[in-house]
Amino acid sequence: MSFISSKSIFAASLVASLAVLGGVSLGAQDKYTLKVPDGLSFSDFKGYEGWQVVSLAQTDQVLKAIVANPTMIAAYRAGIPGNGKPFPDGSKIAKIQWTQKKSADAPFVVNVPDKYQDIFFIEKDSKRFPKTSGWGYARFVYATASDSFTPDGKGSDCGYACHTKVAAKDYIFHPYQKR
Amino acid sequence: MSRISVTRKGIFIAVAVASLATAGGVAVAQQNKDTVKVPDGLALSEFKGYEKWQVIGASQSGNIIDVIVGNPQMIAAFESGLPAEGKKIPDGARMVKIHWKSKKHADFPAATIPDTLHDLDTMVKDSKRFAATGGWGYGQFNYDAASDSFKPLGTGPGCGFACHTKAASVDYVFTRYPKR
Repeated sequence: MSFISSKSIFAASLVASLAVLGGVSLGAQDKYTLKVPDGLSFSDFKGYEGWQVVSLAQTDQVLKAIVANPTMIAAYRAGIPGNGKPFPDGSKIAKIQWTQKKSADAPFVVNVPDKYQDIFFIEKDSKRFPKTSGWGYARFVYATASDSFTPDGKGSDCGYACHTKVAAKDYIFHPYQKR
Repeated sequence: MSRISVTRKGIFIAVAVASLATAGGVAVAQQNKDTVKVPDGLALSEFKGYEKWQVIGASQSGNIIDVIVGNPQMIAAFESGLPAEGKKIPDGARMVKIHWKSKKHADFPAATIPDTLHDLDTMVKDSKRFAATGGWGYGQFNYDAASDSFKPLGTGPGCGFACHTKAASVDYVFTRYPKR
């Protein structure tokens, strides 16, 4: 009797635990499962949170940090694209965009990141992306309320038209900033 | 015969002297930034490797745009939810704020981007060494593009303390770690 009772309590707690676990996994999105239809996977850029900064930019709307993987940083440091050579296959770069606000704490007027808006990814694979000069593009839009990303559009050419403006710099707008 | 030999030797010596002078010139022009130190304060070498540290945040003020980077201890502190009211950042945490002058992007004028490096602001947590300034040591190193060199500002490790006192309740850290 007491044995059955313990068993049913154990079963009930197990079900409750699984429900909690299930809730957690439903609530928190695994961004690395995302993919632009017919385009890039978020997981192609795994670890971008720790990549080295290339540069920054600010527009009226956003403040952005541009970071790149070790292959691309090594290429920058070797003088690419200023030396006329292209970035090697395997180069990856991410642009993280935040809306901005005036800092409420700083003792001077300074704009700081507010809400996370979206992330742009570009990767070099001259065989996979021959129609877009070797680069594949993707954008994932972040929603604060659901703490989740949504891929924007489809295909891997979303940034190409814009980036042809800097074709002479192997389609990359930002140089590596001295620090 | 011997006269030619002496002349050749003389040419060799002259060339060697000229080469050494050039090498000396290069050595003078290229500063080893690891030797730069604020008198009675922080050495830039205490932040060795900052060029590759992970991004914490970014900011823009007037004609300056900057990125704030941190060492692994500082990043771990941010990821654990610090800074927070009444909580301390652990000893060994280091941050560098890289200030650049800003300019319009020539190929995309709607964007403001970094121009030349302006200065590095550094902070290191060592509650024993910097007990007099809330546990943090501060240093500023101004960059001179013409000579490609850094110059320490002022003396001592307290240069940022008065300003950062405004954030004393969150262990003197203004910067937040935005989601990315």
